[in-house]
Amino acid sequence: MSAPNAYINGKAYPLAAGETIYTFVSRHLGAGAIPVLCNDDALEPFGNCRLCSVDVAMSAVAPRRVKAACHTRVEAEQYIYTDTPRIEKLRRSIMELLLSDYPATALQPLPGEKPTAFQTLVQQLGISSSRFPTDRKAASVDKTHPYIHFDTNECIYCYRCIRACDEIQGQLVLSMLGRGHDSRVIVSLDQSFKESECVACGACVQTCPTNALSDRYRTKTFMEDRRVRTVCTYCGVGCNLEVLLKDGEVRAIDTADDAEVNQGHACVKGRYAFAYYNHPDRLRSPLLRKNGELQAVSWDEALDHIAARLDGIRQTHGVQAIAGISSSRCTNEENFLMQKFMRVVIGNNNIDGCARVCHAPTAFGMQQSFGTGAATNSIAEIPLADCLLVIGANSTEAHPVTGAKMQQRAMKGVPLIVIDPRRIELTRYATVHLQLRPGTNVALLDMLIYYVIKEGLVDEEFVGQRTEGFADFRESALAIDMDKLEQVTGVARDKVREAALLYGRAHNAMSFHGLGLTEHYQGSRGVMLVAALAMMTGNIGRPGVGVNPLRGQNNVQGAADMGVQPNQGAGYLDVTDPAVRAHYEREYGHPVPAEKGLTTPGMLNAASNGDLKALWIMGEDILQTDPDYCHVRHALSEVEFLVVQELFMTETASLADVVLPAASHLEKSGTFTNGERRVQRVNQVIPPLEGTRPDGQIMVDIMNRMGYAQAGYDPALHLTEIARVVPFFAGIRWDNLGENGKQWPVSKDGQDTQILHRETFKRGKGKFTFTDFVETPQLLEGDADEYPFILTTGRRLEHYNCGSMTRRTPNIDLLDRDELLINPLDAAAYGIIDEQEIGLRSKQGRTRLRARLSDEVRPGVLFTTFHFPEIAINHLTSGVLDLDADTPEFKVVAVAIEK
Amino acid sequence: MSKNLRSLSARHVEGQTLFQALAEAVENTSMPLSQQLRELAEERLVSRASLLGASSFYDFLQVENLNKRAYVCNGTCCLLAGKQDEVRAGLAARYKDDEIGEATCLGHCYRAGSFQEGEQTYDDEYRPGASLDSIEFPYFAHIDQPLFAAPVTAIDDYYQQVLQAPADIQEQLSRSNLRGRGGAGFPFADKLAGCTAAAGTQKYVVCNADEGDPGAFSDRYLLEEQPHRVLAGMLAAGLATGADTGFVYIRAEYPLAQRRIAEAIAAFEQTPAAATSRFRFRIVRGAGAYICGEETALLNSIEGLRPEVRTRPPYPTQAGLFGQPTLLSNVETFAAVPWILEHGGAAFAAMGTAQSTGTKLVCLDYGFNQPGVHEVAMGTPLRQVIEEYGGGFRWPMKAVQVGGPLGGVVPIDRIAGLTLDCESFAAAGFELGHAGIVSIPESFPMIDFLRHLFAYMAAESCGKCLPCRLGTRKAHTMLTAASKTQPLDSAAFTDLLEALEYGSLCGLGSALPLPVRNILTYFATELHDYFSEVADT
Repeated sequence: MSAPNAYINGKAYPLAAGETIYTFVSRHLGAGAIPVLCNDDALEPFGNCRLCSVDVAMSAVAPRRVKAACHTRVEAEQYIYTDTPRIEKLRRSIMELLLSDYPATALQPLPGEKPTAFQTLVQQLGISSSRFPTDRKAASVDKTHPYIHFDTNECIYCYRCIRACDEIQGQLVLSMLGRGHDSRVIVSLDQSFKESECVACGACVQTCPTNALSDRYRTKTFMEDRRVRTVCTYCGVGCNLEVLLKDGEVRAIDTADDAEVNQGHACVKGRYAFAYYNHPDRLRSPLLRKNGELQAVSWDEALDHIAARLDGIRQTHGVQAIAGISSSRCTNEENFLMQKFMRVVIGNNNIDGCARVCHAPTAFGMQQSFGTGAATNSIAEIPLADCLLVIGANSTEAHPVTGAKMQQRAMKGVPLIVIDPRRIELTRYATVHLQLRPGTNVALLDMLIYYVIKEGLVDEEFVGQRTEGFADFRESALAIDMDKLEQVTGVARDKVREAALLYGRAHNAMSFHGLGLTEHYQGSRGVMLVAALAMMTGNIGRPGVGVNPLRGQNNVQGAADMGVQPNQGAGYLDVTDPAVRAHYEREYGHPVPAEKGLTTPGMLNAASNGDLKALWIMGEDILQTDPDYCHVRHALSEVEFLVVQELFMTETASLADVVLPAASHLEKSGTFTNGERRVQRVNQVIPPLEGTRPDGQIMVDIMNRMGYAQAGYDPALHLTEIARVVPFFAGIRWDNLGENGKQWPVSKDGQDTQILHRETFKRGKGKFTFTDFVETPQLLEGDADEYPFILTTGRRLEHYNCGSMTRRTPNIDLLDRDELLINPLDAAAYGIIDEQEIGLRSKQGRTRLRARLSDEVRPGVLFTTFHFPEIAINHLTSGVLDLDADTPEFKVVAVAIEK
Repeated sequence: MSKNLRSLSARHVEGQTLFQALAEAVENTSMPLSQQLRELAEERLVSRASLLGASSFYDFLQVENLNKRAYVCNGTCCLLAGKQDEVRAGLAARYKDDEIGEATCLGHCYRAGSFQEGEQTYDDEYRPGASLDSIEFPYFAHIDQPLFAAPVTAIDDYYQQVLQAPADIQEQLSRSNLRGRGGAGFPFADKLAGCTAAAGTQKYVVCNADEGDPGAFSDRYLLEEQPHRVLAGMLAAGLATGADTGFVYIRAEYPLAQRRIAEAIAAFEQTPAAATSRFRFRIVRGAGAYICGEETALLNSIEGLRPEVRTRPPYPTQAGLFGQPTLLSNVETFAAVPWILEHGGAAFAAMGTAQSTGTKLVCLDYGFNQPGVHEVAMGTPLRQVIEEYGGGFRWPMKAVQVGGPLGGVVPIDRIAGLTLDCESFAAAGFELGHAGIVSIPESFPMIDFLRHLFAYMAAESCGKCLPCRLGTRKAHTMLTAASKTQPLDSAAFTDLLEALEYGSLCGLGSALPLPVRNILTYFATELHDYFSEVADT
């Protein structure tokens, strides 16, 4: 049977089930066939501008009725007329009514700008004057915000900004004040944007069909020379962006509506914080330390010097005296080259990356449980889940676009369980917030697992067919000491039980976790318990379920995939396995080392002990971001030779013997792999700033200098090699990634994978591993009296890790310091007031920062960020590491307050 | 509108609703408004902007009205009766200028010249302590078997008799051919069946007691004098559809109605019928916004959202209050239900005409010699209602407006041909609406009537759809500026009416052109000089 038809202006067209007249007509006659103002495909139909009105009849002769196309469903055999005289007159009248209050000066684009959607429509309809009297009241323009500007004079009351803030971001900062003709859009309690709770995601600006809402870059109407699609560098979500160029400069960033990852959405960092790229602080020349001073030298001199020094150290101290730290901010190809450089050219496995300080426990724990250390499912499945579990992840601030999607679900009543020591934004909408004491994830997960078993919520069929080790697991889980765990976590058992019921009873429960789960003494064990929870409830291998780590940096997944770890080479193959080595040797044309290398903490210890003589760091500021500042500083000062590739003179770079100026992600091509295993193309927007080179090119240059011939940095070429080396990249080619990339594993024929472990786990059967809670040594050293507080750390929305990029953008006007959050009860006990500068001391060191009273933390717990070098919070953090993955325990530091 | 806000508001549906909490917060002047709203936003998980956006919509929650001590009725009848200046002068002696506000309308159109002080309503014959509440409500029955004459006495028995099987309730209502009394005339049984068939475990019954039309006070009569009939009708609708909760949304201007309904609910709750049915009632007090009489705006209002009109479909029977299937109807419609269940649908259908069955409460305003609520059979000649039941006009009239501000304006010489039913009015180019009758004196200039009409509608437009938001104001500005020397642009005005009719999202905008065109047609001579050409509508 053929599809049912409906008629547009007398001609039959096939209709799709459930579509509106607007989509139906636009699909057949093109996007402009029916004019609209209030409609935005990213938003629900609203039906207020009425410009999309059409005549509709149930037969060719039946009486016609006027209907708004945007929210009226098309029906079979319906007759739709898009431009009858009365419809044209209606549209004309509406436009005239609008124009009577619209400033005549805003009818044309500003010189050198593109027209707004409204200006274009005015042109198209050929209406430029109005017969109706004006009631316009001139209003002042709000330019208080560093990015978003609001000029109500150009408002045409389409509500799109209000709806975008609600339906996309979920912040609801905007509303309408009053009613009728004089009602107007307000920001918060009728305040300025700067004063409001606006998170500057830019969704309102993007959807506004005039320049009532615009941004400092005039993005919407910017007349660019060129527009380049690329991937954001600010977190593991991997939003697609479109960079607007003029005269060779990056002038604005737009988003791509068709992006599968972000559907046109972005956050304040991705959309607006690009000004760092040509900041005067950018390093423009290689620097070589001469007589204790870093001095500008040529690339040849720098590279020759490095090659000579590395050769010398290798000959004098042996191959193990050199190590490298790669960068999760760099591309897959660059990471691949870096690890290859260490393994093939230097000849050891001393290669590690920032995953060591973040998600190494995820990789380890999930590999143990499932066989694959990556997200099992995809972000696009969030709407399919009927229960969300978020553990140790403040996605609203650290992964804003994904966080907004979770929040949208929770606001609509989908059960949300948050396990977090802080009252993060998501807890506002959570069904259950389990506010545990930092460092007790394992205890809490044990309680949760206990109740899932006790309440009979185990999916016995799944467990029986697809997993192993459950009997022992069950026995251990049922043997926990609930009284003790309740006391340790500080969370009442009833609340945990409630969470267990929600998670266990859901059809599709989807879990997410961040560094609040991993950066602990028992980090990997916690990950295994989360994996166990998913398996025991059958929440694996289907849409809308699974275990999904939220990756912190843009390419932390990719860096690990490329072999940036001392025990596994590219593709997570075990370097101690001779067969694996044979595979690598065949592809690299060179022997590879068999001995496991050093992790980052291992490197720093080796440096401190004098065993490590040379360290090469690509794009990481470990002095600011790794724990125990004094220890790291000592280690870095002990190595004889330190090479750092960087954009800016970071804390770490300032200690280097050679600093190599790198190109930013806007200046090179390659691929990033986001947190859902999606390999996406990063496209070069501008050439590297003069004097800088892409990190990959630097690796190529040094490899060539040290005797391993390597073609120039070319992502397409390297990807071909990676596809041969890394099994799950088999079908990936630069040319077949398209706009939205592919999710690995990608088979040879190019087929990608949205959901892992559908039929069987990577390791065959899923493995249950129970772990009892063990207190971190941080808190066991018998000095609770001396260090009565637990300090935990995290990110704020406005800044990205060490802040070297975001601090050099107008984001600094939104947040210009690290603050210490302290519960008002604690503050009162110490006589601390808001904004007061106080000191913090731990066993490792001390620092001073300003206090902010907040019930985001419970008494006894303090929170701060690590974006600003002057605070250097990692003076305080400790050397306690995850038992399995060597990841530092950033999230628990015993501290004392000093006023 | 916002699914997020609706869902967040629904989290507190069992307790104090968001709207009630918002009104309470705004009216609590002991703390700054911004602080109140911040705290409420935190408590209810909604945003500050959405709270201020919602509260600022309502007359009585606007900051500039929080100090008002008295509200003068600015409804059409009070205007036409010419008593407002006198009333204002009286109040000026007791209050400062900015302590006196305006409300439209207080629903005492049979007295006119009314104003409200606190919870009491008075008229121009003001005597402290003796409010109009103490005066008997003028009700007159003009049929053998009036539905709404006798007060309900044996309360439990009364409720017991509506506790019938859902299918029986549906059956009797289908037979009765009862049509919605709010103005649209939609068959009530169809609405009931639609809500019954809608999927959903939670359903609601909502009574629209937001009788905002100037010239209409029949709902107020029922709420104050016959509250059990209204509640029992809602109860029956709840049983038939599977709803367990009934909201009575009563406008702020009707404080006595709120008290009487509250008392009636309390009495109901003591009955065995309440225990058997497990049905519960809740009152929601409006806050001064005419548009809340529009069903979707009313639902948004209860939810604490801005009471802007929703797009339809979905209709409330499918997705109404808090997104759940909802049977929403008007006071008089619900009040007729118990009678139908007691006497059978056929008995109801036997009254009135074939298509417009039953009786109708007709409100006659101060311009009649016998003003008040008159219960008449549907189909009664209009002339009989006016001359016989109403005792004729108090002074010479040139037209009557029937069915509220959006109803037709019938010139005196067209009264003779009309009977009181939907069909007769529609055929003649008018609208029966709720059949309230406002009489327009000979001496009252029609240009001023038009100005008043548009001023009122511009003030009450929710502002969501552009034709109504902009059109009502522009039309008012044009009419206000029009004079015999500077007539308004007729072609533009005609196009504006057409934009309102075809483009508006709800009846406020789309029905407004009807009375305007009636006036332009029947009073073309009087208005001739104000228009650039003779209006060709």
